[in-house]
Amino acid sequence: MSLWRHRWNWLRDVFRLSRVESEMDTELRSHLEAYTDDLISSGLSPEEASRRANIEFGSIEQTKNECRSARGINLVETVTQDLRYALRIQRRSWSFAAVTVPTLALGIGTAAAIFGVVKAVIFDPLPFREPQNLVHIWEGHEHYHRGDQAYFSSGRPASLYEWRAQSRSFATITAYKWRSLLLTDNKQAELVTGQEVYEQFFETLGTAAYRGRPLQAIDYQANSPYVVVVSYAMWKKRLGADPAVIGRRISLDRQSYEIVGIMPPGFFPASATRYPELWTPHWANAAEKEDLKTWGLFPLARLKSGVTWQEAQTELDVISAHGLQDHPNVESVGGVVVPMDAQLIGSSWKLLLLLAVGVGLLLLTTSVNAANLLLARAVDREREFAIRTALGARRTRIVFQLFAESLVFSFAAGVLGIAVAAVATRGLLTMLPRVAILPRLDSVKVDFEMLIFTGALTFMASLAFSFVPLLRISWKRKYTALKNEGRAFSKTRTKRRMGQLLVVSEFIFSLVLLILAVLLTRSFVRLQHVNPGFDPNRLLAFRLIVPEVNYGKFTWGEKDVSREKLYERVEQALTDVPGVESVAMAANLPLIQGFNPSPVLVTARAPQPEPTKPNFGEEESTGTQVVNPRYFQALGVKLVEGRFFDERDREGASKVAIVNQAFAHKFFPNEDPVGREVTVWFAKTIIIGVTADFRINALDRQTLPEIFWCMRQVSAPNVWILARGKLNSLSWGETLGRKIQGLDPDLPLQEMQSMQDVLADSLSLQRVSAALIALVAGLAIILAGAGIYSVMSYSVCQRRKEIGIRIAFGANRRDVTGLVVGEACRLGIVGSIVGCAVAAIIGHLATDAVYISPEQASSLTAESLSPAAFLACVAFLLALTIAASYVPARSFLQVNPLLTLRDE
Amino acid sequence: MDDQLELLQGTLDMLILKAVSLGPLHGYGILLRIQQISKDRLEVPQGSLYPALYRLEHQGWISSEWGESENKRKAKYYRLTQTGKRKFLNETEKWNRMAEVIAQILRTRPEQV
Repeated sequence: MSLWRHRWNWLRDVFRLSRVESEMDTELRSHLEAYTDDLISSGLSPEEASRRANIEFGSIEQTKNECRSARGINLVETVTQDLRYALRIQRRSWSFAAVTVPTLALGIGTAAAIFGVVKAVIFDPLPFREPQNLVHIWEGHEHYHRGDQAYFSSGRPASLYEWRAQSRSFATITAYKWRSLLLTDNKQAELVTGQEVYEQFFETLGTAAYRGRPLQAIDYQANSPYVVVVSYAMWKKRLGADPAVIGRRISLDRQSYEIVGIMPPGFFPASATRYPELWTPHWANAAEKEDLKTWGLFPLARLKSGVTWQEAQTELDVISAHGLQDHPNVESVGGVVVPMDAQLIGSSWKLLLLLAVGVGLLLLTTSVNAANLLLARAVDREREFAIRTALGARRTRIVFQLFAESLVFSFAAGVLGIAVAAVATRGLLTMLPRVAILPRLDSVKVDFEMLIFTGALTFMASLAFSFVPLLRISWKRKYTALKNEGRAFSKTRTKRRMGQLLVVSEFIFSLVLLILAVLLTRSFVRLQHVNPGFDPNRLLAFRLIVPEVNYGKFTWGEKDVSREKLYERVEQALTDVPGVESVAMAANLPLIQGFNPSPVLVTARAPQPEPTKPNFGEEESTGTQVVNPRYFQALGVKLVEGRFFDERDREGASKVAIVNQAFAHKFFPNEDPVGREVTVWFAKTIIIGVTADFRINALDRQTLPEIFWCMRQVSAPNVWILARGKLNSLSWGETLGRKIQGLDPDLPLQEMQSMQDVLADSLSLQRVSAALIALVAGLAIILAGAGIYSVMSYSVCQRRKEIGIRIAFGANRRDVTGLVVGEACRLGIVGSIVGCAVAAIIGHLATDAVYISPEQASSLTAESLSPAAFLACVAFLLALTIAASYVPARSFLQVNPLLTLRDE
Repeated sequence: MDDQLELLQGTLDMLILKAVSLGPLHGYGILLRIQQISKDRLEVPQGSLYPALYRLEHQGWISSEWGESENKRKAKYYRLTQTGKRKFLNETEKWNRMAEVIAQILRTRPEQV
């Protein structure tokens, strides 16, 4: 019980420090007065009595201090005192705080913002149960397991069922396919994008429903009713966030579905950008289990616990090898296992790595800058510390006080940093490409963890800052500072070393950032000047999604008369619109939709032994495109050989194709491809023409082989339309929309954009990484410039007596300027060497191919690490350093240096 | 003054406890009381009195209360708490035993070893 009393007393005392203090004072004073009275009554004069009393009592302050220790409140009080003192110091040197706090806040805030993005994109767990066991399975050749994702292909139903039957590595295997459905509940029909999912889809992912239930086994039985699970976004946007929506019926593709569940927000990030809005069960029929023609399935699987994805891969390789033996005529390729997180994050980690490195360096630069200023101040305050040590202050007390000072302004920087983080996060979200690259950006926000992160950064910063001046003062013997002050001619070498170290490190950080920024900008500019091979001007692109409910199910390789008729009518209607010059139509939009790899068999002129089996190797595959007859003319692609499509190439005529030059070089080296016969997947075709290469896949990679079929002979499920206007205005987009709605009111135009925008968007990753790094580098350079300037002017100030003496002995201005600038140059050269080495290492890391091919990851390539760029950056920073040291030297010389000798 | 003894280490606490056990006293009063009981043979350094008081109070052996001194000054009066009483008896007993043992040791003559 008495123990509690102590605690209570102590707590009470802590909270009433000022009262305790005044009571202590009263008590001691009354003691002294009583004693004085007694002395007076014993016959001493009042003055003598008071003197004697004071002497015999001893130091009141010391007694008080001992009393405080005795009550255990000394520590708390010390802390409060130190903080109060630190605040006072801060107020006294507000200019110091005005420089340090905002720069530090900038560093902390930017770091916190980037941390938020990295966390949401990479570190936050995916919204699935045990996401580490989830994998995507692509179809592709084993040769490309760790290679270029452009060669991966979506799956086919028969492969799915084969894996299900034979593999032992997976607990469950399921799949989804994209499906556009016509929602006809509202006045105007809306097209919603959903997924048709195979059995055990939700069981595999293991995500609980937000309301209601996900799809279950009962939904897959014969005669199960039509049910649908909707996404949170769909529920909010299209269903009015109605809490009683479970059990409601909606009409999809003119079929009534019962809503049985709502999935939580963020479910499920199928790809970086596409979020499905609803899920319906897919009822497989018997024929599907043999179907090797229908592509477009995205298989997902959950690994059995303890099985790695590499083991699963090995097993799939064995299965596909057996498959080839059993059915030599089937175009079997095999599964490629990709872990879910790698699939979703893809190449974006490189951008984030670059950003993280950049921001880390910026944070270091700001910290060094602050440390710089603190150091300069600590040197000035050496005398203060020396006096306090001489008066009996313990070293720990001074250390603690320095820490308290750092804490005060780090705290201020932290608070300001949170504001910066909030703004920077918003800025990042608008800047980062919404269109393509980063998954899960929608979940980026300023949250508790970001605050914790900021707090930790702040605390570490203050620790580091109190540490720096400490290094300086602990080296000294106690009293030398007192003796030295005002006497020494200049600071000794060791004393200046710390400042030099800071200059060199700032130089290194900003050099690395500058080099990275220049390299990224260079490759971005280079890409911007890549000739796409077609004319993107006055070109308007939009998508026409053909609802299955109106036009029937689509199967690749099968004749689809209703769609072909529709496309012909649409093309005619659009060409008739005044102001439209030409219309191109294609299943894929250039620069947006990837390579669609297919094996190629060349029919030889001379009879040859048994043709090799179609294979999925890079050597043997080509991309495939389905285009309208006037596609090349409308895009402005040049013909190299043969002819374009024309009216002869229709249904019934022999199947023809046009290939690009890359195709010609690959499959017909030193031969004329025109007139030759090739087999690509399901179609035996005769090549009638060769076009010039144009960048159909991406601006930043070499054109891959492509074969183009004519839309009149090969059907496509949906089309992209590229309309070229006569005028440089896109205002006629609405006219086109009305025209098509006139043909069929259920055909809305989607994703309308100008081709120039498509071009720009395809470079958004490069643009954003270049811009962000440039921004960070710019900040770092400004900070480093200021930092170097302040160190150099401080150094000049410290050497003023030395310089004065030199001048007195006949040194001229140039000698003195050379002395100062020379020192800065030496530091700069050391910094350049280290900085270039570091930049080269980071550059190589960033260009390293790890999972996805380097071209896709970032525009940094090995050849862009050019020595010229390095040299230019070094020259720029050296010039900056010279300027930053010349200015203080000059301004010092403007005052008569001899005066400084007489100063003291 | 010359026959005054310096205080043995660790004995001040006991003297204070004894002094306040006879009735509530303020700091100066404690000093006077000790001098009075010891017939001026003990010298108590004034500076070390208060830290000792604060420590004893912190430990809960004595408690304090503001009051008015004989000559109308505001003064803090200390009294023994229940815990303090127990501790004081305890300490007294320990001290007596210790003093006896030491005295006995010091009285020892060579032939008694």
